[in-house]
Parts: sequence; C-alpha cells; structure tokens
Amino acid sequence: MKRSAATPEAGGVGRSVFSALRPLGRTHLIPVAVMLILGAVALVLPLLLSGYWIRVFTTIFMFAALAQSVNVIAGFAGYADFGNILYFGLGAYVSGFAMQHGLPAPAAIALGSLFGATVALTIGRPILRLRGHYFAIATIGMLEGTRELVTNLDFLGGGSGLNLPIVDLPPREFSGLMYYLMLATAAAISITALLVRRSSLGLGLRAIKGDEQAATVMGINATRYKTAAWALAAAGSGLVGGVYGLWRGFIEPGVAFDAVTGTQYFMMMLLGGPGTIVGPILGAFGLGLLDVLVWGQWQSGHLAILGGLIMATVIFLPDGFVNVLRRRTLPRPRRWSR
Amino acid sequence: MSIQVLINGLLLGGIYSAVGVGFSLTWGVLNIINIAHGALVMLGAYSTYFLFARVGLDPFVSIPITAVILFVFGYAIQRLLINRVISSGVFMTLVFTFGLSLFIVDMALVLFSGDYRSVTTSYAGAGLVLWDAVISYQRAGAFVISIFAVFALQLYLDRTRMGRAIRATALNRDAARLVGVDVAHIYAVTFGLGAALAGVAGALLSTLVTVTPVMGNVFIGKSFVIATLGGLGTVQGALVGGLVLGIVESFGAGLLGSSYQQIIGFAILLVVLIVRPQGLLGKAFSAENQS
Amino acid sequence: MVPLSALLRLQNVSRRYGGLKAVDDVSFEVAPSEIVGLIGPNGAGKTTLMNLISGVTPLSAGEITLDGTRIDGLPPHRVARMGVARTFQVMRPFPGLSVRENVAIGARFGCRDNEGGIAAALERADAALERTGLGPRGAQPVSALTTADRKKLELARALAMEPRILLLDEALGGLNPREVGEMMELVRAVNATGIAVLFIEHVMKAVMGLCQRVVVLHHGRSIATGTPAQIVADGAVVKAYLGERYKQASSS
Repeated sequence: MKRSAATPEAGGVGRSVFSALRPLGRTHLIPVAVMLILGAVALVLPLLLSGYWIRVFTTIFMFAALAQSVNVIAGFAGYADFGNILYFGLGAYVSGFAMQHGLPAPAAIALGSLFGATVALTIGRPILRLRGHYFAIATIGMLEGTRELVTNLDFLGGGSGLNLPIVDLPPREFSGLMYYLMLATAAAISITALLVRRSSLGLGLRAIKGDEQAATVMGINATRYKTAAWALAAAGSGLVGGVYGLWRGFIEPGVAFDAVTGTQYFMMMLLGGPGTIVGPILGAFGLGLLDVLVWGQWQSGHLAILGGLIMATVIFLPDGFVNVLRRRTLPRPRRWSR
Repeated sequence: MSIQVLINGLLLGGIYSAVGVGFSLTWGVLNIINIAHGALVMLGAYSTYFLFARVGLDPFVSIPITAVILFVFGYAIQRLLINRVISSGVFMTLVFTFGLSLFIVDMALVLFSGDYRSVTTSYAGAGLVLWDAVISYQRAGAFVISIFAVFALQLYLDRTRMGRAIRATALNRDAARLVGVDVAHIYAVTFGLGAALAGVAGALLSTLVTVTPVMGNVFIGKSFVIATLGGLGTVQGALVGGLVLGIVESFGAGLLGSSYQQIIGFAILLVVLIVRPQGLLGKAFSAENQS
Repeated sequence: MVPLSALLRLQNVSRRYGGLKAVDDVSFEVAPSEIVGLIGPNGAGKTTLMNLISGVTPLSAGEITLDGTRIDGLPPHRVARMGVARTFQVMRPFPGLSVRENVAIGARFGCRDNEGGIAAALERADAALERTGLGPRGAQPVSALTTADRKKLELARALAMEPRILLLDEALGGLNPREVGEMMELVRAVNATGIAVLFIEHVMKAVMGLCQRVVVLHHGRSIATGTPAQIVADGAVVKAYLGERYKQASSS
C-alpha cells in the first residue's frame, strides 16, 4: 500500500519495526489472531453469498478501512479528525480524474492516496497546533469548505458529479473483484496500523495522546509524529476513496465529502475502541450489520437511531467496546481527555 | 449598490448574533460545544410556525412563548442529558451533542415531515426605502428584535444575581462552587438561555426563509465562526462576530457569487483558529482554560 | 568569561505576559554534580522558570546555556535530548501505559544516543525502575500507584533519559516524613552518579539537607543566592518568605 515517505520518522518506523520484535507490554497476538480469523472467513464468504450480501460486505470492508485510517490519528494520537472523510473525497476525485485522463486504475488510486497524504503533510503544521476540539472543528471546516469548493469546480463535474471509466467485466465478476479489493484495502490499512502501533512511532503517539507536553519534554518530537500519523490516516482514507470511485463509477461532492458518513465511521472507531486494532474493525462490522439488518427494516428515523446510539455510547462506553474488555484488568477507567 | 449590500449584511448580522450568542455562551461558560444548537434554532422556527398556523398568533407576537418553550427544553436537555457527560471533556460532549443534533433533526423530520413550511404575514413584502437601499419591514423588525434580545441577555448577565453567578462560574467553576453556587443549576440556566435566544432567532427566521427540519444545520458552522471571531462566552463578542459575519457574507456574495458564501465563512473560521484563537475581542480566560 | 564549572547557566532570563513579569532578570548557574535548590513563595515564578529552561515556554529576554550551548529557543524535545530532564509538580504519568512503558518513553526518546530502538529502551527503563525501587511494579498500570510511587515514577522516567541535569518540580509534595527521607536518599544517590540537580521545593528539610546552594525567587526576581546557611540568615529572604517556614521545619 502507498505509504507517505516524506518524514524521516517513516524510515524510523521501518527500522524500529525490525528492532521491536519483542513488543511492549501485552503481545499483539490477539489482534493478529482476530484479523486472521476474520480474514479467512471473509475470503470464502463470496462463495456462499448472494450479490446483495457481497455488496453489503464490500461496504462494511470500506467502513472498516476508513475507521482504521482515522484510528491512526484519532485513536493513537488523540487528535479527533472529525473531518477525515475529506481525504476520502480527495482520493476519490484525484483518482477518478486521473482515470478519466487515461491513467490505469492502480496508478490512479495510488495517486489519490498520495495526494491525500500530501495535503495532510502540508496543513499538518498549522492545524495540528490546535488543541483537541479546536482541531476537530477545523477539520470539519476544511471538509465543508472543500465540498463547497468542489461543487463549484466544473472540471470536476461540479454539483452533478464525475463519471469514471467503467471497468469491463460482467456484473458478478466485477462485484467479486471489488469485494476482494476492498477487503485487501482494509487488511492493508489494518496491518499498517498494527505495525505503527508496535513501533516507536506508535509508542510516541500514545505518549502524545496521554500528555503531549510531558511527551515533548521527554524527547518526543510531537509535531513530526502527529503530522506523520495524520499523513498515514490521510493516505489510508485516500486509498479507500480511490477504490470507491472505481467501484461506483461515479462520485459527487455531496457523497464524497459527506460529514454524516464521516461521522458514522468515526463513531465506528469510537464505539469499537479507539487506539486498538480490532476496535475499528468490530465497530464497522457491528454498526454496519446493524444498519442493514435492523434499521433497513424502517423507512425513516435511521439518523435518529444513530444519534441515540452516539449519545448512549458517550454515556456508557466512552472508551469503546474493546477497551472495556481490556479494562477488566485495570482498576480505573481512562478518559478521553481531548 | 454597496449601501444595500452593507445594510443587508447588517440585518443578516443581527440575526446571526442572536443565533451565535447562545452557542458562544454555552461554550464559554459550560465549555460545551453544542452541535445541536442549529437544531434549537430549527425548533424555534417550528414553534413559531405551529403557533401561527394552528393558533393564529403573529410570529412577532409569539416570540416570548417560543423563547420560554426553548428555555425549558434547553434547561431539561442540559440538566438531564448533557450534564451526565460534561465531565468527560470538551471533545466527548461535542460528539454527544452531535448525536443529539442528529436525533432532534431526524425526529423533527419524522414528526413534522420534510414539507416546506413558511410563515407569511399580511405585511410581508412591504418595506421602506433608505438612501439607495430597500429594507423590508420584516427584515428590519427581525434585526431590531435580535439586537434587543442580545442586549437583554447582556443586561441580565450584568444586573441580576443569576447573571452574575453565571459569569462567576465561567471564570472559576471551583471557586463558584465553594461560595455556594449550584453549578448544575447555573449550567442548566445558561444552556436554557442560549436555547431561548436560538429559539428567538429561529422565530425571526421563520418569517424570512422556508421552515424545514434541516434549516438549522447551516447555523452550526456559522455559530463556530461567530463564537471564534468574537471570542467565547461574551455577548459583545457574539454581537461583533455576528455582525462581521453578516457583512462579510453579504459582500462576499456580491463579489464572488452566492455559491462561495459558505466557503467564506469556513475560511474565516480557519484563519481565526490559526491566527487568533481567542477571537477579535476575546481574552484568554474562560471555561476553556479550566481543566 | 564563562566559568568552566557551569553546566546550566541562566543570564538575565525574563518572561513577560503582557505587563506581568513572571520571571524578571534572573541569573544563576548550576555546576555539574551540584544540587541547587530553588525556593520562594507560591507565584514567585519557580515553575515558570522550569518551563523556560526545559523549552516549554519561550523566553522574553535573556539566555540559557547548557555546557556552553544555548538552549533557549530550542523546542522541548531537543532540550530534552541535550540532557535536560524534568518532572512535573502535578504528576503527569501517561495514562493507558504501564509503569514500565512510561519509563521506557523517556529511555526511548530522551537519551542523547538512541541506539537499539525499543529493546534497548526497555533495558534502560528496567535499570531506572530498579534504581528507584519500582522494579516489582513494572507491569502495573499507573493508576494503581500510591502518591509516593508516582513521585518515584516521575523520577524514574527522568532518569531513564540519562540526563546531565535533572529539574525536579516539588518532587516531595504530599509525602510523609519517611517517604520524604526515601526520596532525599534517591536524589542524593542520583547526584552521586554525576547528575546535577535543580529542584523546586517547599519542604525545608530537603532544601537544607540536600542543597549545596539555594536560589530564592520572589515576584519573579532572584532576591538571594548562597548556601542554605547564608540564605537562612539573609534578612531579605527571611522577610519575604523564610521566617515562618524555617521555624516550622526546624521544629519538625
């Protein structure tokens, strides 16, 4: 998967990954085992499922990938990138535009991901200086502003959207291909998140999340680490955006930069367990399946239920599901302090 | 031409001030970013609509009723719901109020349907001419009432015991508690006042724009801008922020076209956040700075 | 001419907030292996001074050098890597990380040479935990520690950075007399390995017992420097602050 190579710390990630064969504290066996099991099941599912369910799972994988991406900046570093879907949209548009102009799909999608990462690297410096909720507001502001801007840009299709070249495959095969592509994307992002977590970058981010000022006086270059985390999150979301464009064949600003969708996958991460690897995946599966199985039965009121669920989560499960399981061994609950 | 633009901007700004002052106050005193604030404006508009359509009350006359309804609603929400999560930090309350906003707006859609409603009085459309500009009576009335409401709030905060208690709590919550202030009650009153003003703004807006369940959403972003422009927690700040935003939007729409109007607001927001987070008038001290 | 013996040197250091001078034209030195105490009434500017030295707050005027190299103006993580470790008055352990992981952060990021990545950091962390007596508590969450142990954790985290100078901000606050004695021994032991110590303290027993020199701050200004004995006898100091406190300390 495309990784932003701009910062020296990214190279440090590579080096320290190999030197960190013995991980800190608890082992990462559980996330790896869970991912392997889910992955194995996911690989064989298409043989058993109808076209409808294949599409449902493709969507769930997409949300899992997005939730995992935003996890790197919000869950690991504690910077609530509420407007993370900005990078999804940027990735979709850049990749779509490139494909329209003849670039083969893999290159176009990679370009979209890289563009997202570059944007995050560029604005990271000023925006990441903002404290917790100011940062969240700023990211939403950027998202909304970009959506308005893209709606006004005719060469990107404006408000009516952008049509992408259609992949020449019969429906069943195309559907299957997209299923596995989205699965691979989710897997790649999750593996990257796991590697980051085990590395010095991950350790530094956890310290930053815990207490940024204390982290800096202990030698952590917080600016560099936060920016690296944001670039990774942006690259991930951008990658998903590109794949989405390929899947749908059509993108429009209202969908690509939709704050409600962005909040949905942010909530999946929050509900599942920010800062863990399994959490965002479980959150995506949980909320995604609920959405299809339960709420699909009702015509309206979906958002009201989501809103109610959000409120209930904040009151009862502020650290997410996976962290509640973990907390069995720790005496006092940790608070999301940003 | 630019007189018209300026006056339009001012009139718009007056309403923006009324919208933003509640948001700013809640943020400054309770350290809560209330994403559901736009929904409160919407509820104020619907309250006015139903009082107009079912009971026949003139929208300007029913304002006090709407204000009371929204005050009670706001008080209840704060006391019963938001108070449970207020200790989790600013970000979690932001997420919470986002969920609340989704809930309120969607319930409004379910209960009231998405049909466009409007509040049209017999005197709508008439206006007076000042220099080169035309000012509709409705807009002028909305402006006057907005400013009046904002000033009334300022007087309340300055002169009454409750008002002083609110300001004291904003400056130092722990000290306020020590001298016997019932902080939970203060918080709920503050939130209720903010909701009441949002309701007043919604009432005024119902005469100017169509009433739909999603009409409030656009005000969330604007409230951020107003609050951060003017500085958190002060009425004067919201006044300045609202008027500035109104004027800038008006001129921006004139120069760049109305589709860029929203972008201007967000651009201002980002610039202010980065350059001067305490706003044009703000000081560094507010509930923000208490952990 | 800079005396060769100075490790940390503050020259005319000031920090202004608008019209308020939190630190006003303060100058003093700490020699390598010296223990210097920084005392003064609350609000005298002691913690601000710590923030200035560690790079958290920028200077309004003056210079701070470490072994001849200017460190004012450097970001905190650079100052840390140059050998300045500090603790916080209000204990700030990293929540969600175990005791060992907390200390490992200092070891991983704060040392002058960062060879060996996480594995080496863990070894340095274990060593620091042993030195402060927290060895058996390594795997526990921070929330399980007593106040005294948390103070030791702060110290261990700083030690794991293998610093040249340790800035301690009220490391003895909230401890009972026995715990105070323990911490004093630890500080002495740390100093004996060649690490200079600058510490803010209100517990007079420690100031008198540990420091070779004391700097007294009042309203942001340094009103006296000297040995503990000289400080106690200084009229200005007694007038400003010391009188009541010393009576209490000497009768305890």
